Amino acid sequence: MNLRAGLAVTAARVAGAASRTLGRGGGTALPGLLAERIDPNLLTHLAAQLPRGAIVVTGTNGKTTTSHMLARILRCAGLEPLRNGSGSNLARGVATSLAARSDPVGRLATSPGTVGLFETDEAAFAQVVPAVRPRVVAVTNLFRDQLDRYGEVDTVAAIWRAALARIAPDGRSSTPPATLVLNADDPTVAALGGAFGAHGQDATALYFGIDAPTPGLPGGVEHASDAKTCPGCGARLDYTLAFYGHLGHYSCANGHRRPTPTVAATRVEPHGFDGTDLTLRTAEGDLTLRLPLPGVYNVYNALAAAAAALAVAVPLTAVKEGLEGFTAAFGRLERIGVGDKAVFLILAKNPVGMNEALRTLFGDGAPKHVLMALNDLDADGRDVSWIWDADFEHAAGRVVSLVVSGRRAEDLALRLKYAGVVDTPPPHVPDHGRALDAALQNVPSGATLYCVLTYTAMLALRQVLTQRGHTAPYWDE
Amino acid sequence: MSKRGLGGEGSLKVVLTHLYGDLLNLYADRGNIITWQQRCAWRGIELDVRQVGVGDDLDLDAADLLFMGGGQDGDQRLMADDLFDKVDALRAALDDGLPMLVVCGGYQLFGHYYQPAEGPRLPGLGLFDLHTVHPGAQVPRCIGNVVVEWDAAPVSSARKTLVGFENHGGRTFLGNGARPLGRVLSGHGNNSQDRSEGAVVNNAYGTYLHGSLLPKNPHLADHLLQLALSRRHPGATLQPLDDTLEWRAHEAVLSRYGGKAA
Repeated sequence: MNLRAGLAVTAARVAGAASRTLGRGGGTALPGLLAERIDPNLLTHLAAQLPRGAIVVTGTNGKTTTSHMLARILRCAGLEPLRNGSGSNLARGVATSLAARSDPVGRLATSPGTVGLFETDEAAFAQVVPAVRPRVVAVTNLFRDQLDRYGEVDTVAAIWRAALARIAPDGRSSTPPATLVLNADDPTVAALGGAFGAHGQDATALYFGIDAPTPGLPGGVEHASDAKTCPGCGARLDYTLAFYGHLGHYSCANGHRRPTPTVAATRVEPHGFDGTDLTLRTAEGDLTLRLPLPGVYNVYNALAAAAAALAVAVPLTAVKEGLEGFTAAFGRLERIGVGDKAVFLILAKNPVGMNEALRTLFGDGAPKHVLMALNDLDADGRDVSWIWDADFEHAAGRVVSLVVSGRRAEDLALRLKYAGVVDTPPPHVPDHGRALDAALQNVPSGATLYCVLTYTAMLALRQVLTQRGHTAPYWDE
Repeated sequence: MSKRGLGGEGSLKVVLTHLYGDLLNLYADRGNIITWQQRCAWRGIELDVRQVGVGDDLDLDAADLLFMGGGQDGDQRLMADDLFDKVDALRAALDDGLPMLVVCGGYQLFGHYYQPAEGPRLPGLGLFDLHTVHPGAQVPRCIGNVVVEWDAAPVSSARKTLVGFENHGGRTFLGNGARPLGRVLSGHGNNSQDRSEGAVVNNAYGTYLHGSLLPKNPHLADHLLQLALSRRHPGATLQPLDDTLEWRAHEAVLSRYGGKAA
């Protein structure tokens, strides 16, 4: 029994209920903040009670989708993932999710199959990992994102290394070392497992990656790539294959190279928005499946989820069942019916994510109706200059109708002009709801409006759709 | 895109040397190159962009314009040594009046030195009479939207303001041999103390503004382009373009951030 923890839990639960009743969003962060004030060790105290430990997922792009995929796989294996949901991926969100399942004396309600599944953003990782001491840490990738908030890629990598060093075995602790599930194709992420001998983590690394040549980019590493130097020695990296941003098959002149992945996609067959056919090679055998999501970035998400699941001994059948039945995390890539038209929401919050969205959207060459919205609130990143690092040129000649929206719509319109997408100023509707109406007017019956949105624009647009009865509120998911 | 501004200018050409474009591309510096490319294309001018990287010879005799951006510390280390091999060519070109634009990390490297919060000074190229000091990790970085009054804006220019975004830890102080690019109306600028932003030496411009700088500041883009064009084609002038969208984006920053203190 722990009275301080119990008091913190109670405060968190009351605040969470009040926040939901008042209709202020999902009630996900404030309760955790309160609990943290009352008992700073609450997270450690509660996480230690998880019978099967916890899995922490982080990375710049794909952590929410990966967590959703993993949750589904775990459920297919008969486990009960206890998650921090609704995109609340700061340390407080994790504390809130645990407090909601605890009694007034700080006891966590669990069943034998309960496993923690916590998604954290790049910055919160440093608090969550040492507090939770997870069994598995999965890292999807590391791209530049919100430089004004997170700092440069090298800075984030250093923070991650420090956090992982704090859970490295010291010889006295009885806790088994964490398994690091790492993207072999991302040099900075692969280095976290000591792949280049530089950091000497004792943790076990389980690498995932793409071993199929098919989805390679014709021009090699894209402009928006963020890892150009070897994490082991600082020499320049050369790529034989590049799949997405700086993810690919790389090596440096001093012999450092991409580690061979244990969980690898050996066949990647894209079928547009219908999904992607995959063959995965694993230590437990090969697996063939249809992932119902487009884009190479979702192949990486599926690989990360599969590898993390295998790290906690989930059977291959559950991996297949979980991935094949997957529906996208809210707003990341979501089709919503609006009358006899469809609205497709696509989250694109940084250059590499935007490139993937544009490539998926315009890769089939068919012209599309498009709404694009760019905001510069804190959650989007206040610096919108990243749009100049994304290849909007993919859209040139393929946009039937266009409406721009958001606080920085003028910047977006200008970028589209220099990309050759528009010649004259496109309709600019700052309000997201009105922008949706204006854009839908251009769309004929039976056709789809594709909305490419930054984070807060996606939330706002989804709220408009919810208020109009087209979707359920996200915290009910 | 329609071919505006064709005719009368014949086969005009501008050669742009882009230094370390593969390494120094952190803060959307590519937007500056795209801007020059398109503003040349719309006028029927050929822009020949030549990438010069680590280990490449820097021959500026044929160059009309030079650009260098900013990068991550690791990437900057990779090219800093190489840059010292190129300093003679850069100094000769600077004295010869070659138009240059250097942003953020590139701007700092053009100065005498960079004093980190800990450890010895890192020597710079000494091309600009300025130095940069990092006040330590406990002092917040200079991050945010910036509005600057451009001191020497061309008389013909429709606006005297420059807008952009800054994100730098180092504070830069000018000596007598460099004049500031402008006066900070909103934001931090060189050092958040003396309200100066950037530096101008001959035809070389250094600045902390990205965001990107040139797309929303077509007057500066064209000013540098005109200087470049005049080197190869004396007497040739740039035809005006329809800059409605450029000024709309410029105005949007002015109206939202122009009146606020740093």
